[in-house]
Amino acid sequence: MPSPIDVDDLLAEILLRLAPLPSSLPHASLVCARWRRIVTDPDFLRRFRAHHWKPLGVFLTSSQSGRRDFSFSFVSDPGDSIRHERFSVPPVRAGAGDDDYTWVFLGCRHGRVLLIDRNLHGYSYGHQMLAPLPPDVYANHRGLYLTTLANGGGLSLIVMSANLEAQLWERTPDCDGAATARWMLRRTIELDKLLSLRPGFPECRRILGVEGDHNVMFVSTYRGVFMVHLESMRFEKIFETNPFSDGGTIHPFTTLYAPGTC
Amino acid sequence: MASAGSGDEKAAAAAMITLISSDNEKFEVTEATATLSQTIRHMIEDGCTDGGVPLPNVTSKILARVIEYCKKHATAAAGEEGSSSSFSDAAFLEVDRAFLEELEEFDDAFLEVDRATLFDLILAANYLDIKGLLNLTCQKVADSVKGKTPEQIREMYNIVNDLTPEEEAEIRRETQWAFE
Repeated sequence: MPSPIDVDDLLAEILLRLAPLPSSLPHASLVCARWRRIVTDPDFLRRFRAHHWKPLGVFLTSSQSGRRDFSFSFVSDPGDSIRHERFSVPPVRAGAGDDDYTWVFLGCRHGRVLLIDRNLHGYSYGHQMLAPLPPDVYANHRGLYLTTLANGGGLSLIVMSANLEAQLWERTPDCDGAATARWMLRRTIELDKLLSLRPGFPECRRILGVEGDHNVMFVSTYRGVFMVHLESMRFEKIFETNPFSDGGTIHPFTTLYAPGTC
Repeated sequence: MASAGSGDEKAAAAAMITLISSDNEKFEVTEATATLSQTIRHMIEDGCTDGGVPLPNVTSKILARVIEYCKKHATAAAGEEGSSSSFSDAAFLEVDRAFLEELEEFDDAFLEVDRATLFDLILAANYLDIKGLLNLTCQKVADSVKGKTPEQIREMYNIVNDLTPEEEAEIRRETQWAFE
């Protein structure tokens, strides 16, 4: 009789039920190559997230009497093995400018959160402080979006410029043992060329949103509203004219399930 | 067996199925107990249970434990159905709660087995497709590694570390905070 530990499907059933602690999957992935393969499989991770639906905690941003606050609060028992100070929000670096300035929250994805300060020092929980993006990149940006386009599904940033150039910045592993991981420009997506837009009219083009898990970007232009799949570069016009008179956001809705199965 | 006048439902509840273990021991169980296993349910639906259901992957020792689990949980399922029409009655809710607590105690006691038995129960639950039992037994194994380091997990389950030092270093670097 084989041990269930030696059967991939059964090992997955067991690992699916690991306590939803931040350390559970990292520990499991270090046991051996087979365990690592199972706990890094996207289908497994999807099932893991569905099984443990309760978030570990919530990030809170508030703005009271002109002061912006940012904090983290546990909503599930984090267990003994997690150091609470991991989730205390670090102070914005000295010299950041305005007194009332704090972290800008870019999003949570795949067990990480990305916060950006005004010098674009990124900070992701469970990781270290990130090196700043080059100042000129920050100075000219028209929007920052968190995506999972990096190699291996890691965190990456889309930095939009005024002329609809989307720069994909990846966090590079600190292989040389440096204290801070760096941002690396991986590629530039020229949306104006992709969507056959005439040069100029920067005021007539705007990013409405990026849907992180599916990496779909919605772009409002003088030619209508496009959605662009950032991995395949396939795109489609979904509105002939901008549906918003002024500001607005867009939220894609997907139905990816097979009805009739229990 | 069914007396005159009993409805189909009662006849079905009283129907008996014979399960045959790998070491050829026969177990008579009610259909309600047997059909907690989706595998057996499908065999009954296909009409292939005459002359008993051979289970060549399950020993008599394990099958006896599995049947013990199914009997208890089949009673629970029947109780739930019976009480659903009177859910507004506080007394019935009280009875339900007491029964659920009893069921939990049963499950806890049921899991007080050695590792080899636990593993055999997982294999049997998987083969017989008994969701509740698979969940219960897999959870027990998952709980056993809670808070353990990779080294401790390997030691517990005799797993050989075949990661290269480079791979190991890479994972540790990426998730350094988990190893403090």
